[in-house]
Amino acid sequence: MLPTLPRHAPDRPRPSLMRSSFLLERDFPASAATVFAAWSSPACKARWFSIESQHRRLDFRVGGREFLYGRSSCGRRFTYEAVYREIVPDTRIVFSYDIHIEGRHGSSSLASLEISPHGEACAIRYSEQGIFLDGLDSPRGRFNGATLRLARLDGLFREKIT
Amino acid sequence: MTERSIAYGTFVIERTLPVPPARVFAAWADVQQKTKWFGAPGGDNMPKQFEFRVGGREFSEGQVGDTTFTFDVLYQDIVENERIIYTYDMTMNGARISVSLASVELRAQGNGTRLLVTEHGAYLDGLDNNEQRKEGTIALIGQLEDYLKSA
Repeated sequence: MLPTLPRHAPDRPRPSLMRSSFLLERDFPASAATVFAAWSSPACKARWFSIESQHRRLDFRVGGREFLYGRSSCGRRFTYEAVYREIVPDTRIVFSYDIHIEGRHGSSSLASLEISPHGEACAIRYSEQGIFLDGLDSPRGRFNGATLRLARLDGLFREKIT
Repeated sequence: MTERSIAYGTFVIERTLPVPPARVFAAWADVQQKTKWFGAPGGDNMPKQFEFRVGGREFSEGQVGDTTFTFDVLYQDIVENERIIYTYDMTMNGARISVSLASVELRAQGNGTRLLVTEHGAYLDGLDNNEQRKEGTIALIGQLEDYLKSA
């Protein structure tokens, strides 16, 4: 008979939750409609969001899902699976998403984008509130990733106007 | 036209319950038990859909006076007797008022359970706010305590 293992064996860390939230504000040299399209059109989104993904699917409507699969910069397999919860065209998007790393659930997050037109340009607020599970995924990495993606998006808008 | 806005907020509710984690977990996981405490007191709280599994959905619709509410849940992480993570959104007369990320954590404490309920919310267009949601959730957890003590 096998010995009884403790419920939390060394290879199964005790469930623990970390929480993190951030709010990023940016001015983009693009119209609200262009910024909204960058998030809602599969072709536009593939140019800046998780460009390392090998597979992507986007069903942009309330209740619709988005799925991405790839390898992170350090070689770990990840999936990103989002559900769109609230959409107001050219104005806001609210979605929830889960990250799996090497097949294990790493985090659940609630994210939102708000777009306010400013003449020809617009200001955005991007917010995330996340729960990070069992130390698999990192809040710092999440914040850095979001910062980098918004910078890449900004770069695309600037390419178009120059 | 509605003035569009999003307000963010987090609240935590902590309670010690006089029953073990498995009993508290079952009060969330079993629809027959959940309807006994979750929702308007004395109302018909049976959800139209109840899929308590990762990726499953729970959907309820209810009437308070002449206001229709909906409650739409996606379960995202479940560890039996330990934790439940889900997101939910609510509508009031067809307008979405909030989207929230919630966790329920259970820890054995003697013969009882330490319960930790945390919610991170995005409240839309001033139709709801973190304070109000916290008060509503405190009332629900009070109903859960009463149910567990009486059952």
